[in-house]
Amino acid sequence: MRRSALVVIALVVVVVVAPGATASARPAASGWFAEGGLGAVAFLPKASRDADIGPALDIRIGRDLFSWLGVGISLAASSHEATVPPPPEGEWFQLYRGSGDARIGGRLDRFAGFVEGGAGIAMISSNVLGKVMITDPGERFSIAFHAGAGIEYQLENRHYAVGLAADGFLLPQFAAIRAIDSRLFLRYTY
Amino acid sequence: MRTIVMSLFVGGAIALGGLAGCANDPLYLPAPMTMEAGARDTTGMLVEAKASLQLPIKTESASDLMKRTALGEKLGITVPYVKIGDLETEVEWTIKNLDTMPGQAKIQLNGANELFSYDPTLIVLAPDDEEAPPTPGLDGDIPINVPAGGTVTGLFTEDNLREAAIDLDQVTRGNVNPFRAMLTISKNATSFQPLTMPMPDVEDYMQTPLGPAIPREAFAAMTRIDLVFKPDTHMVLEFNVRVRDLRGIMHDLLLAAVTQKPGELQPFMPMAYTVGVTPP
Repeated sequence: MRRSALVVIALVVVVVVAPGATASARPAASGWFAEGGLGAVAFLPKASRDADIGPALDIRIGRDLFSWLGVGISLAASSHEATVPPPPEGEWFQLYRGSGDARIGGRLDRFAGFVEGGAGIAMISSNVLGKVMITDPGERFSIAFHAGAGIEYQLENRHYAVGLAADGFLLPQFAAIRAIDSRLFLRYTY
Repeated sequence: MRTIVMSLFVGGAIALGGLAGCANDPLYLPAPMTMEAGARDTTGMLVEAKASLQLPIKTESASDLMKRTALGEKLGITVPYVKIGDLETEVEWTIKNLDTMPGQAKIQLNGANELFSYDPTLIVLAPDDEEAPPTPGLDGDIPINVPAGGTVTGLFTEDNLREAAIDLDQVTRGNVNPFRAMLTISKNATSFQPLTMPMPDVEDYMQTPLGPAIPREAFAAMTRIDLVFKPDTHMVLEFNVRVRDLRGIMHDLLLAAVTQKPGELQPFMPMAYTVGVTPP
């Protein structure tokens, strides 16, 4: 697990810092882009005891300011089973996140890599985690910080790319729970 | 192609926004305490446990009050603030057997709306007949087998609670016989006809219709959940009330509002419904 993580990081670093690589890259559009992703959100300890891994949907819209820098806004939703001590049992909650972020990246032929980070707001759909003190009474919103990395594969059509990304996020108001959002995405650049 | 992709992204964004704005998300109210029962008291009787959970409902707004008053005048009856359909409530419970022997437990569901409370021990329909069956609770009272040291979970569903709330209103405001109310399915009833008070001491007394029928839009919803826990060995019951607040009348702080913002909670003082006994 640790070894594969190192390989991914190394690949991202090589792609990001590879000088002059852009010249020989497969043609890729640059400018306004939209991304849609499907994946999963898994909570890290201690919250992983009280909330199960769940499916996630991500949407991101942004603009490449330079070949190596882009900015964007993203919306994400994930659904989780609350595994708090019963009762309740078998209840689900949803976590919604919206944020602004910046992405630094580079291209090596048909592959591109990036690192990203940002901040925004998160909303939880119910107080089911109140039982384990993750949310306080009446608390539905938290600031959200996230950072992560990903790789993209540019398709023959210069507008399209597919990729794999993983972001860690932190929600300070919700007892500082941390989670990993990993996703497969399709990117369309105008 | 570009249009299709754009439509997918816009559609996805709208769907996410819609999900986030959903007002139908459940709220969870933990029980005020763990109910422990099943031990024997000094007289050798099994100890039962009782608990109540008052729903934290916001004070009624002036516009709601005006609408309610207008509807009441139109129908010629009392229209409650919290009506059937405003809240969808469910009770989830867990029984833990603390004994080394398997046992059985019963959970009886009772409660109150803003007008009346229902406690079957205060309704004696046959005072002269010692063998008459006791007045039933609104729901439950089904034997549940619990293995030694084991745990059993279950729930009273939204349908159960809706039926219980209508039965409660029929019995208390409509003077319908509790056995009849419990044994008929009324969750989809469109109205019920109030009757004169039952008089169990009067021989051959027949109840007669009294006043206009109460339509569904004036059915009172439960604002308090009461549970009676009756195990035959030492057990504990934990429960939790799940509410879908369809009208947006629950206080944002939920039970914390009782201590933090009590002035923002609607005070309800339901009258105990009694038959054949002196009101407490």
